[in-house]
Amino acid sequence: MKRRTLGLAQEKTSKIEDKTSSVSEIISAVFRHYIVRRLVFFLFVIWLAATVIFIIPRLSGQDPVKEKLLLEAQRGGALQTGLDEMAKTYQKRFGLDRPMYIQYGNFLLDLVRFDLGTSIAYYPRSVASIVYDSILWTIGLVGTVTILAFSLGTLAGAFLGWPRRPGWVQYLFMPLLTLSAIPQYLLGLILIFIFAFHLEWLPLFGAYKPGTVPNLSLDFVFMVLRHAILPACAILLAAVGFWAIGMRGMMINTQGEDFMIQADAKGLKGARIFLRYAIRNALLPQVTGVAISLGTIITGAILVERVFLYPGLGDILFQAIRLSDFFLIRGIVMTIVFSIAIATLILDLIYPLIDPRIRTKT
Amino acid sequence: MTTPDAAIRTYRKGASISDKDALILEDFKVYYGTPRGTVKAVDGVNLTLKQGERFALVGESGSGKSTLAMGLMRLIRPPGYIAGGTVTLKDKDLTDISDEEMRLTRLSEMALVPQGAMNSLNPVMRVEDQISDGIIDHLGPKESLSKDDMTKKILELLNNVGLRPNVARLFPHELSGGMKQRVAMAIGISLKPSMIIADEPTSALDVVVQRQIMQTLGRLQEGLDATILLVGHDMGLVAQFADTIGVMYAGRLVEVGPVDSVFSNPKHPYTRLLIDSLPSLDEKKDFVGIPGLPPQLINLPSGCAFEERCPSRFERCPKEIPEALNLGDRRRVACHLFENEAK
Amino acid sequence: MSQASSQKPPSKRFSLFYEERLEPIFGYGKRNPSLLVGIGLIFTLMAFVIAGYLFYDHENYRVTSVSTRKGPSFVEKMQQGTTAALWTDATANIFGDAQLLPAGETYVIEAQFPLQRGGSKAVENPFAEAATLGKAKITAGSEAEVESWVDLVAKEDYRGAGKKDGSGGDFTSNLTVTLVDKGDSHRAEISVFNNGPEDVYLTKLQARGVPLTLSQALPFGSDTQGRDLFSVAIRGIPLTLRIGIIAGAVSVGLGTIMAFVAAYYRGWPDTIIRTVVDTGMAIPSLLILILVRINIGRELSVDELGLGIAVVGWVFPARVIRAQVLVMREQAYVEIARLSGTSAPSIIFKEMVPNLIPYITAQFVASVAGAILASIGLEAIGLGKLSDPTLGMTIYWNIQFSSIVLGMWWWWLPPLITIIMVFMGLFMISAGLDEWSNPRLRKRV
Repeated sequence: MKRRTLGLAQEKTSKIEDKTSSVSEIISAVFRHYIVRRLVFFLFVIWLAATVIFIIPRLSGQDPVKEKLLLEAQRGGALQTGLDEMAKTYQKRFGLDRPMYIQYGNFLLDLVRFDLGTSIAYYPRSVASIVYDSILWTIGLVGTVTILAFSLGTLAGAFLGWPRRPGWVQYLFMPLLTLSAIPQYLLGLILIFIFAFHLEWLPLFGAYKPGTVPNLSLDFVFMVLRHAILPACAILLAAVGFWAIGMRGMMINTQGEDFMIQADAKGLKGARIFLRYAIRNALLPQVTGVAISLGTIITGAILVERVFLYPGLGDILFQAIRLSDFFLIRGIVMTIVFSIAIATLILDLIYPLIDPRIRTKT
Repeated sequence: MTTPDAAIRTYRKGASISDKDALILEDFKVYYGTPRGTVKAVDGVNLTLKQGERFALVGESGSGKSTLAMGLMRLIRPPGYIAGGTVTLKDKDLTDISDEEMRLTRLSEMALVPQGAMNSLNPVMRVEDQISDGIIDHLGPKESLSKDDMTKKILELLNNVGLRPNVARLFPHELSGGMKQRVAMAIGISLKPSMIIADEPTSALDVVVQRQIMQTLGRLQEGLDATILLVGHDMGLVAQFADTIGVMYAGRLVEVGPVDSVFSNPKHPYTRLLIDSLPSLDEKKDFVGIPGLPPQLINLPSGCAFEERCPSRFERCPKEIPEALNLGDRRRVACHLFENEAK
Repeated sequence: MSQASSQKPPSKRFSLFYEERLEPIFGYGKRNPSLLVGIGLIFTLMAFVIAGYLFYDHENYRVTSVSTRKGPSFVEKMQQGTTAALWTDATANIFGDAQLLPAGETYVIEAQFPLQRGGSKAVENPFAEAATLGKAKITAGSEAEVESWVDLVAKEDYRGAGKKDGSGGDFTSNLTVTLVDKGDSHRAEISVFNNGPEDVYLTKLQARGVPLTLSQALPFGSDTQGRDLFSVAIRGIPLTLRIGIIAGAVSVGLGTIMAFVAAYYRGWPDTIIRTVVDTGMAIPSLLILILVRINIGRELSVDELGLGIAVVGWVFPARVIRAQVLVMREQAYVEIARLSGTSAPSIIFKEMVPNLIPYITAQFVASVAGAILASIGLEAIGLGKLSDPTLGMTIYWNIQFSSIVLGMWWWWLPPLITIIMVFMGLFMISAGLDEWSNPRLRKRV
């Protein structure tokens, strides 16, 4: 009897020991998992961006609200006496008089709740509502066009990089190359001049005719589409070239690989080699390229919106800059960073689906 | 690597080399067009292989042996091109047929077993898919293979090369070097070709695995009664595996003959130096190399290509390119020294 | 080798030099024509700029306008029958300010007399149609070439603000006068004479440049504020290129250092740097720059812009170079150097960097292109220095003044062509360098 209990007791203690040491093992095992790493990185980026955005204005020692008030005062022609009082009230309202770490904490908490604060220029509208209104336009235009440009460009690039392509495809190369070298918003300007101003085929700016109330009627939808053609073309043409050149390069690289020779040696049909061997492998770095160039795409789109006065996020950002609306600027920047981070995360999660080597790698 | 002295033996047991010609190369040339001039990678090779024969093509890097193997299958990419000669595989001139016909010939009649340990398998496809796609693309217009039949065939092939059935669902990066080589071999035999070209199949593997792979290869060959063209530079391996050996230097075939007779009595000075340079397990002596470097293939000398490094050269050598001389007993040498022995 | 060649006759020496050094370069150029095309494009731009600097009077790239000491807008009561003047010399005058009006250009004299100050009651225009409100006189040149009173007519260019029926608000009378080039003197006197029936308030008096299309005096025309666009081009192109080069050099330099520290030493410096780089690439740099610029409050000079872009942009070359160093690190010659006891910095500088020079050069070209793109982007939003005539700011002014709608093609076309040339040129150079710098293609012996 005694022996047995002793034995059991011994077992128990050793089990507890195992447990404590395995906690750290569990953590490192979990961390090695690809998805978890990506999620953690995602949160880290958001947090870092938020912190940076929080710190930058504080660094210059200026008080954003006070600056804004002074600016307004200058414009309005009022005197500066009552200004300090006004500034104090504003500060209290926006919580700027509390110590730094409390402000920081509040800021982060608000972010988690998607509360981006209140706009100064469009007071009392909340930043979130302004952003929400304009982000739909941006996603509609930039989102769809980017996906379209990626698909078309990658396809074109695949053909361009394949030695057994149909003859006429070759002639696409130079124009695509030229297009990829021109910044998007410039292309926008050129397009505006030719098609909107000179030929007057398409409207000059905006998402819809100024003065019309947005509704869901067929007429309105058509008008929106008509207005979207030029900015869409600007983004599309510039981006297509970029993806095409990239994919072509990847295709050329892939063809030097040993398994391509082997595919030929196996006597496989050309189409199969093209799709399953060449494109399938060249696509991997191409998708990585998307993740890397997301930042550039977004900034390019913002500028295009500026040129076309399209009421998306870019236009709002510009207005906010012009009006020195500190909170709105901050909110928009956070939104953009967040969108890019989410898009990157989605891409990271897609990647293991197309590259089996990542699936089992820890 | 065993010493050649110990490898003297007669033909391998049970070898059945028929009298039929499996492959005939006539004045085969593969050139590369570069801005600096034409590189003559393979410069007029004449060779006849019998069905069932194991032929090893050896030579140092840059001798043209790999290019020759690739050229046979018309896998040369620009700027390389087949500059002349014929390749006759069982009454069909491979240099003369259309691209589509060549495509069908590959794998079904002439298969390439590459260095599988390298990148020869598509990293994003499972093993079973890579085996089956070759089969599918060679089916005739009316033919089809049911899923069950295909699976059966794949498992049969894997079993043949000594792999377990679970390998079928794996991806190449989950396999070891030896396993990848076996998969490559499985693909190679999937359509029961009459000729197999093995391009340095064991170069990146350790010795133990090398032996296993070569044994498997030999077994497969005997099962199919196929001809093997083995390309490599491991003399010891060649000595154990091959029936006939061909030595290439600077794009030309300098010596051909049965393995045991070439090893015991090398004729061409280059062959002699090669065999002398092999380290011996029995004696302890200094390493012997071959001084000098192989010539630049762009600028081949007007006479014998080996003349500069040859210890037995004489006045005729730099002037005339030596023709292949038949010395009887299936031996051929391209060297002026053996003028008198020619038959 | 050098001993042997120094004993050869000079002609042989040169041909040896040609063979060993120059011919590979020419051969490379022939194989990669895009490199030559790209260099050619950039070269053309530089030649244009240099020619302009040498042969053209390029001082007039700033906005040309002359206004009173109090600024263009103010409030000053003018009694009936008095004269107010905008002087350009030092004679005592409440409005005087010494400025230069470059000759050979056209100016608009703007004098503004509000009908009503404050209040919202509709007031009839007290000046009958075609009544002369005042006169403007311009004296230019030591030989008073243009000296005449020109009528400022109330009806002319009447712009009613505020009310639909035109009553109330201010009205401005504009008058266009061309100053003829007459030697060195560029002073102008602009006087306004109250010719109306009542006292009026003068609230604006300035002379500013006008938009003109191409002419002999103005090869690129002028913009809505009268700037000589040719001067703007000559002055602005080098500025933009300077931003690109500063930003490119600093970001590649910084990126290379970081890449080496991370890739060579591994361990926690690598983890930190790698995290920073990955995060930096996830957050669009343009946004950070916008934020920084807003919070700094003041405008950024060209050099500051360059440094700012570099500070955000070093992560891109860093990531790429780090990957390369990681590969190089495992190669045999580095291993040998390490085993033979060479110190780490020595290995880095003597073994690895020379092999990386082609790659770093390619990164540099890409960085310059990216930096110019970023700078144009920032400036087009309006966050550059307003007085700098860089390409980006020119785009900004184009958008601000809707040059496309106004049909002023001479304003947006040259910068457009310049930008296209710059980017195409840089792109072609980087494509041409690809054979030299791409590590994948380094299979040649």
